[in-house]
Amino acid sequence: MSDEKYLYVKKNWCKRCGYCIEFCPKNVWEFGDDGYPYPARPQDCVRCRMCVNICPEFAVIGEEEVTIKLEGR
Amino acid sequence: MKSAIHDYLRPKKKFPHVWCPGCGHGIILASIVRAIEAAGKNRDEVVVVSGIGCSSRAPVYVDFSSIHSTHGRALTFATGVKVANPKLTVIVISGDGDGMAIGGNHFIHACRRNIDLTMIVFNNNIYGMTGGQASPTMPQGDYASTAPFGTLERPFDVCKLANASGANFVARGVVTSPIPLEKHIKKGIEKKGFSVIDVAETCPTIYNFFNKTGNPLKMMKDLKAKAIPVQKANTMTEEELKGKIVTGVFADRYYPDFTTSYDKIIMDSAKRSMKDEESI
Repeated sequence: MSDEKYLYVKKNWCKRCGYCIEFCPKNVWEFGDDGYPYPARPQDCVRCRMCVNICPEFAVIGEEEVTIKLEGR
Repeated sequence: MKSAIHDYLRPKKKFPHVWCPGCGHGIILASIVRAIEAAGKNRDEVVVVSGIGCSSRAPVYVDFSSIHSTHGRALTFATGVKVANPKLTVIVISGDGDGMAIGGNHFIHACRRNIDLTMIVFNNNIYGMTGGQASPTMPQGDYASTAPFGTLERPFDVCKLANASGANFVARGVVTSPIPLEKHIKKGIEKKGFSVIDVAETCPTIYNFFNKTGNPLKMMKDLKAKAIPVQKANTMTEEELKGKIVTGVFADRYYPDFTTSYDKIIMDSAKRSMKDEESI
């Protein structure tokens, strides 16, 4: 796997609780114009995976292959 | 490092799940799945048993053998599964109302029996699914549909109860720190004997409706502020500990568990009968 930082929000699963924004230690996330969170500052990400672990909806995904696998669900 | 939960989701289940926005159940479920993977268990050898309630919807979403049993009786079904096939890893998912009030008797006797199960208590201090009745872990003075003037009874501490009843491993985690929670669950799975992991979380819908605690995010922040580790709690007075949630490992014992003792009895009696045959 490449070293590229990959963060993705599955919008049809997200319920917009905002935990990823609140609990990120590096303040990477922000609410977008559509109301869903998005990684506004991905360069600050240290890959602690707090957003992935704290998401109650399993909507934050840290791997591209998982995103591809879950497409259409 | 892969996100284990996505590998274990049932293929034909509809998502998003039924839990309310901001409910911590999803965080605990993901932690359980990560812990099972970290413990190196084969998914065909894991059985997840649950009772009735919001929390007990959890096994529906993950790809393990599962039993969705009757209200409060998850532990009894799990005991049956474990005794019938001791090779299985049995995990019991239970809420605070399901496991502590209706199944309270089963809980203390499962601790006493010390059978090799891992019980995870989704402790949100209220009956969420059945309409907001006061649960045995609800803080005194909080409101519920059965306590419109505030609960009169004092809550009990799940960890202290389990510790006193003789469980081999007792720990408490909070949903605001999923990594320590995962480690506690992993240790509970690996432990021979009964392990109880009490998980403090929030109920942003029903509990908030009766107690006006604010939006889900505020409730999570308050929960994070309330949680203190057990090492720090040991140095604090009772006054300071009021309203706090003490997290960490409370008991870690090595008493022989039920299935091991049972196998020993079978082996001993088999040896004895062989000796008798020889003497004849």
